[in-house]
Amino acid sequence: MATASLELTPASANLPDGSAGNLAPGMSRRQGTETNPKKHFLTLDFDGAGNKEVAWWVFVLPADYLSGGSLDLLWQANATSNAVKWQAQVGAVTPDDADTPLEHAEAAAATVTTNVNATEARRLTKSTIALTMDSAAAGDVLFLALFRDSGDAADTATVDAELLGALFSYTA
Amino acid sequence: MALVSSQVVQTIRDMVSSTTAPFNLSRADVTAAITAADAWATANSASYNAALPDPFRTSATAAQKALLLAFICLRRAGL
Repeated sequence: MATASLELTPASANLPDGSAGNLAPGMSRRQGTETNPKKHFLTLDFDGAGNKEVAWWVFVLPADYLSGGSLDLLWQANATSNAVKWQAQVGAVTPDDADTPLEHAEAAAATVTTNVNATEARRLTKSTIALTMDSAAAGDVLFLALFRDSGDAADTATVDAELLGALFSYTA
Repeated sequence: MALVSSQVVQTIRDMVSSTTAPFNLSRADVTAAITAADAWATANSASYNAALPDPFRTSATAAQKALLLAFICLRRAGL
């Protein structure tokens, strides 16, 4: 058994339509401060003002998937105090399931609450969520929702949580 | 008329996005400040209106009076 991973980038996310209850994080292109040529990269900016914003990734679980599922989040925030509560939930649909992909509801959300870096604003911070995998199996289509409900009492940071990328890992 | 929750959220977002400096106050602390400032505005709206000279007081709309106060506050803060 080994650990395998899939990279989930901001650009590969499916963003909701912005209707009530389906708000999407903003996507920003950020520029580095080094001498030219400066790095440019995308972030998904999850609101800290009190809204719930969601990003989705949809992919087929590889053939070597055996068990487990965790999500490493690499993010930054323009603050040196308070915390961000990340939440993620998964829906797995097997070919010929009675539920269509449109009908299938996701399993319960798993969470992690992480303080922003206290030393310097926008230092890279890592959070890990142990996912509830909805009885997923190799070959399933996986719907993975990552969200921040900044109205949650445990989520105290007022600023956006800026996601640089995520890594979905599993036992292969 | 006090701010509704969506307006409080928008005010928090405006506060955070209007500065590039790190913002370290918690959402609860900022919300409390917004609520207090909103209550102060309600309690002092008649006083503000009375302080305005004619013909501005009788001719300007409520929105124009609100913008006047907002612009003065911004200029006084160097913004």
